[in-house]
Amino acid sequence: MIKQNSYHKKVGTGIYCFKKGGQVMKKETVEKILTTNLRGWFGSLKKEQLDLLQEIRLRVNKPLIIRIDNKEYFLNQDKLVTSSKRAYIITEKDLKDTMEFISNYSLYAFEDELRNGYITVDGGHRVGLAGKVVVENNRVKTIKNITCINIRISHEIKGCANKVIPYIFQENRIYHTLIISPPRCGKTTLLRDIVRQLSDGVRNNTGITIGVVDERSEIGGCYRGIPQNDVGIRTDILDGCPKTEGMLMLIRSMSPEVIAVDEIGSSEDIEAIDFVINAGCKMICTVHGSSLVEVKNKPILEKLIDKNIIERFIVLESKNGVGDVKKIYDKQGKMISIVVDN
Amino acid sequence: MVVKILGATLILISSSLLGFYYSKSYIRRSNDLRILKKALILLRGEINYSLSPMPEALEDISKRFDHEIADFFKSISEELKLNSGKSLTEVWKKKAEEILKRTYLNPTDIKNIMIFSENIGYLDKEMQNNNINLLLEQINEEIKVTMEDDAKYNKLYRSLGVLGGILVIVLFI
Repeated sequence: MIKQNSYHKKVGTGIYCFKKGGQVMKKETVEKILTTNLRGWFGSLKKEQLDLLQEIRLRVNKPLIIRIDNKEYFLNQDKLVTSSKRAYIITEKDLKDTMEFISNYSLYAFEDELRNGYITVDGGHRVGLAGKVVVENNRVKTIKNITCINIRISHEIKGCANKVIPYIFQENRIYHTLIISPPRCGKTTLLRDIVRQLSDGVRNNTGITIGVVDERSEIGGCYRGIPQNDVGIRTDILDGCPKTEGMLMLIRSMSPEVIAVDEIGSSEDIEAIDFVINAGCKMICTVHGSSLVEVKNKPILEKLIDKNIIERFIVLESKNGVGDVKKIYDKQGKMISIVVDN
Repeated sequence: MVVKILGATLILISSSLLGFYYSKSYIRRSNDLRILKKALILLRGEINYSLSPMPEALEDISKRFDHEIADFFKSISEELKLNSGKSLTEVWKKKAEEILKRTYLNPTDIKNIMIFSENIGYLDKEMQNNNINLLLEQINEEIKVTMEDDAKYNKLYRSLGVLGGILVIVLFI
């Protein structure tokens, strides 16, 4: 711990250390979408390795690359190798088969997803795609001849928000919260766990109705509308919906007490957030950035921050592991606490 | 004498029935083709309007009528749901060989259905539509030809059956 955290004692919460203990990797769901050649290879990895598996990359005629705990490995049969020369080389057929399984034999059902370049599969994993892009009227129509696939393994880390919950939920009151984080520091994971805990209810409090607008299917990892990640029992999720419209839709239809969205950035987002706040809802959102100052200097977000609407800022940093340092600031931008995961 | 008459009647009846059976084969094939056509139109609708994935689309369609073609769709959907790692084309072809043989479709029809499977599921709706429309056109053509053949050969087979029977009887007597 960088700084002794007296705050927790005051609120009297039980703080648990979660060393990736609550992490669940859904191996079966990953294997199901791979070509039969590659199935079973991942079963031979150690459990710790599987738990930390982040990415599987398939590129035609290139070695199979996987990323475990931010380190890159090549895979051949069931062995992890460090040299690309000994790695298994992906064939065109491997990729074609994998595509078929990813799309459940129905690529036509994923036209919009192809246009955005990714598909969310059962288990909430995100599959990024690249290949030959077909353009019509200056707009991307589809991707044909898909030659590169990046499977980003969805990880739920239940409990990763334990230490921050006391700062955003106090005396039955939720603060408008903005999570600031560089890419890959786990902001979506943190947001998901905050949503789950608030929705299920923390510390003997009854849960809160939460509406989530999940534009990129990352928070809930919905597969056919059903969240594959645990987002709590009082959570309504609009999957694949544009944020601005989604926020207004939720307010009108589901009367949530809290609305959570990922990666705000456009001025329309800010307007929608204004509307949400005026409607009496609490807002929990995330934004790309590395520090509070940097975010304050972004012209669009400036509007939001200058109005002093946001009451809690959580800045994520990676020191020893993904997003293990969380700095928490109050309304005025004064740091209240630093929490560090072990 | 009685035995002779009895035998002759039996020969006549069986040969006539045989003739009738063959004369109906065109109608039966065109019926099967029509059902296949209906199934494909439903599939096109599933793809265009509800965007349901192939295993579900096939299962849904199979529930809507009672015929070998429904069994064909159903068994493909069941196999796909097993996640065995086989491609849709492989499964489709295997099932076409197994199940469509039991129908009145002829080998050309089955071949067309197999060729159709090579592009199924791949890429966008437009491609699926073109693929299905192509097969539908082939089916329409086949139905037309069958109906023409039916008009031509229907009576022929029937009279052939009856006359063939009479010929056999005459020869035996």
